[in-house]
Amino acid sequence: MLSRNAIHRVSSAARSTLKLNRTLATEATPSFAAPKTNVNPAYDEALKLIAQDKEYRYSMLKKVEKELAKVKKANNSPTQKQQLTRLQQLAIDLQVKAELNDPEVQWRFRNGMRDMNRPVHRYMVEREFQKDRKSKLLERVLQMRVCPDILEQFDPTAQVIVEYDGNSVQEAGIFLQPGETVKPPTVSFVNFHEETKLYTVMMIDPDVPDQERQTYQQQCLWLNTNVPLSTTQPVVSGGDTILPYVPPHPQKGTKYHRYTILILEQPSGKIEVPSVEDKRFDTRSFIQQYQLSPRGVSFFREVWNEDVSRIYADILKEREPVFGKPPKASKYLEDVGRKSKKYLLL
Amino acid sequence: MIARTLPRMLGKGAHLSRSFATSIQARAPLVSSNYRIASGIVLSRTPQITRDSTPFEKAYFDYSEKLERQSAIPLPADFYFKKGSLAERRWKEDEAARMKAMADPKLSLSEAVKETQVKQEDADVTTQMNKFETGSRLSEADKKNDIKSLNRALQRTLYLIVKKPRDQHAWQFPQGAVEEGEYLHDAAERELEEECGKNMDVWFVGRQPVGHYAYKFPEDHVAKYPGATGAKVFFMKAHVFAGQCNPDNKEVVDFAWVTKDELPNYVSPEYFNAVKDMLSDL
Amino acid sequence: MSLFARTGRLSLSRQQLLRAAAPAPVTGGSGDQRLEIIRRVLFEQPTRETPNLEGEALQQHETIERAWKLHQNQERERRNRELEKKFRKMSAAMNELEKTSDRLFKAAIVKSRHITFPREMKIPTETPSPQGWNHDYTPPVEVVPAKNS
Repeated sequence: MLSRNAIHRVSSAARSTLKLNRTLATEATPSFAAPKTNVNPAYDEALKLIAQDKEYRYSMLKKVEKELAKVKKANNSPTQKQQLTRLQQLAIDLQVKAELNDPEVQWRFRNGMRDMNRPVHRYMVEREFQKDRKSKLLERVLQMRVCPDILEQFDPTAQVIVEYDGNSVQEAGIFLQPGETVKPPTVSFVNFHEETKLYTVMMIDPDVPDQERQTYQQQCLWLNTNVPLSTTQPVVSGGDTILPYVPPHPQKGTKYHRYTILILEQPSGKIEVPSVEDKRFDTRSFIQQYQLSPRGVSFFREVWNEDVSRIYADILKEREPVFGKPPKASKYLEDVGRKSKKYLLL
Repeated sequence: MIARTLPRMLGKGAHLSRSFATSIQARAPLVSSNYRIASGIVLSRTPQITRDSTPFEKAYFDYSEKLERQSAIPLPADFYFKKGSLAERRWKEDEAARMKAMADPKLSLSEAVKETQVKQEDADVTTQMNKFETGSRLSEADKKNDIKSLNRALQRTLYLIVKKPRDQHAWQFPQGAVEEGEYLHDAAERELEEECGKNMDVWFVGRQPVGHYAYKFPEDHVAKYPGATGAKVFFMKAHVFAGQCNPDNKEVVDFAWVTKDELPNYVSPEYFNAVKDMLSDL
Repeated sequence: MSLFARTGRLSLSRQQLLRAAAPAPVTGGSGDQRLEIIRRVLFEQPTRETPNLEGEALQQHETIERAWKLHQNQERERRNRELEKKFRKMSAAMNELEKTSDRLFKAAIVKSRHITFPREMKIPTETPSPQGWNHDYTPPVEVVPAKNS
């Protein structure tokens, strides 16, 4: 359970999912108070029009459902599958458009009472992501070069919400403190499919120095495969943990590290991953090997502070490396005031 | 090649049909695969006035007008009106009525002003004389339900239908057989003039038909006039801008201007089904 | 609370505006005060402020705007359906004409070289003309130029 203080710091989107996931029943939710009718004629007429449209669409929906039942009965039709998907799409479209203009639905959506069981709310959340959040996310991902560094640019389909105990990644790329991220986060992927699909969830740090090769390497800090997710179960839990969570530990002497959480769909179902080496992890070849398709991304940044030393000592139980630029020999001055020899006599 | 020669051919055809218009019986009707080809005319009078706004539209316009006024820059009345003038007094009356309407959501701004203006006009003789005259949205023909008048149903599109001297399928759009060597649009123009007289200002929209209708002749008709078992009617679209239909009382004995909704009262269901899609709803 | 019941409360910029619109105080008779008014009318045009709705009024406003969009959508769909029906009918007629007679079809697809549009064509107005329809139209008499023999 989050403290009151913590809730205030969470963004509205995160707040909505919080409510959605846990506290819908426990917190006293305000009920919708419809504006008084018979005061403003325009409002009354608007309500009438909306109600008419709703009625019409529901009558159409009934017809579509009858047609659906008929198509389901007909077994020997070669186009049955196509017809079914088209009719189902039409039915969902009708349901969404019938409810979309309802003042109460709009009010509930705006006040964070989102019910992902309802097609209309799913539609609204998806539209909000596509219209508003996606461009911001992509901007951050491209500006901070997460995309070419870890994997190619892709089209995220839904929002990834990362919540650490009392802190959440509201916007991709914010700075967190290493002390705040010691325990594993609650990751939720706000997807829109009713059926359960399997995903791979991983956390990558692409900024670990590789001293041998004099370059950077990727380190996989967390790897879960076969995580079942659906629109009513967006929180990452269960599945097979290949690499248990290692707290982010940006090394001393390095610049900021981008801790990236990737959500990858497993289109061909369950996958078997033998043990993987977390150091020198290659995300691109991993994705190719298991034929995964990236669906969501989020990341935060961290720099070194004293907590990292504690993580090294207590959790990793390693000697903490300290990085820095190699000392540069002065070209011109050897001892005090004396110029070094340009040519050495061998 | 065809494209270049056709206009010339067409010109010739038009010329021929015009010269033969005086001697109608000179030519045989065109028959193709046992169907006589006919050209029908959908003569329409477009809506003369805007349609009535729905209750929601009206309420929405009033609402947005008030919202607009709330955010508008106030009029510097001293700049526009001379102190103590009639114009200033009137404007002040209007303004007071508007302020009253702003407080009452059920009263619209334009209606409030209209009321004061009526009062002002009653009081003033000069304004009565200079009053701008407008026609009524509901015409006399509507009240009398005169289906021959073109002043009726001003919000709707009217179509001309004519009555042939027979019992069955008497009412239909004006139509006539296309003659050998004649084109559809020529035949349409000729037929309209023959059946409905010259006193109409008509514009034919194009040369392409907007719809068609095929039917079989009754058997006794076929026995009497062999050569064709049915007819194919291609409808040509036209607009009327002035004038009135004068039936020739030979081929056509009566006429009416009707809307799409009224058409089923006159024609058979098959005929209506064949033509309904090419007519405007409003 | 009604949206328009709070007309008495005015924002700062609106108050300034009203002051600008009010007659300028008479100052010692030097200069024409009308010039001051003209200056204000011509140059002091602050931006129009949008009414800040809140609470119930805002909820009502949003519902009304939604309904208006819905209404426009319905109208557009109705119009498109009608146009599509007309188009299908026309295309069916042209197909039939092509099958019936090649000569008539070719004549129908030719565009006239003199595309004309009648200036008598009018769009609907709010009220009809007070004269009403001209039922007594007669076509203008053609003036045939006298032939010189």
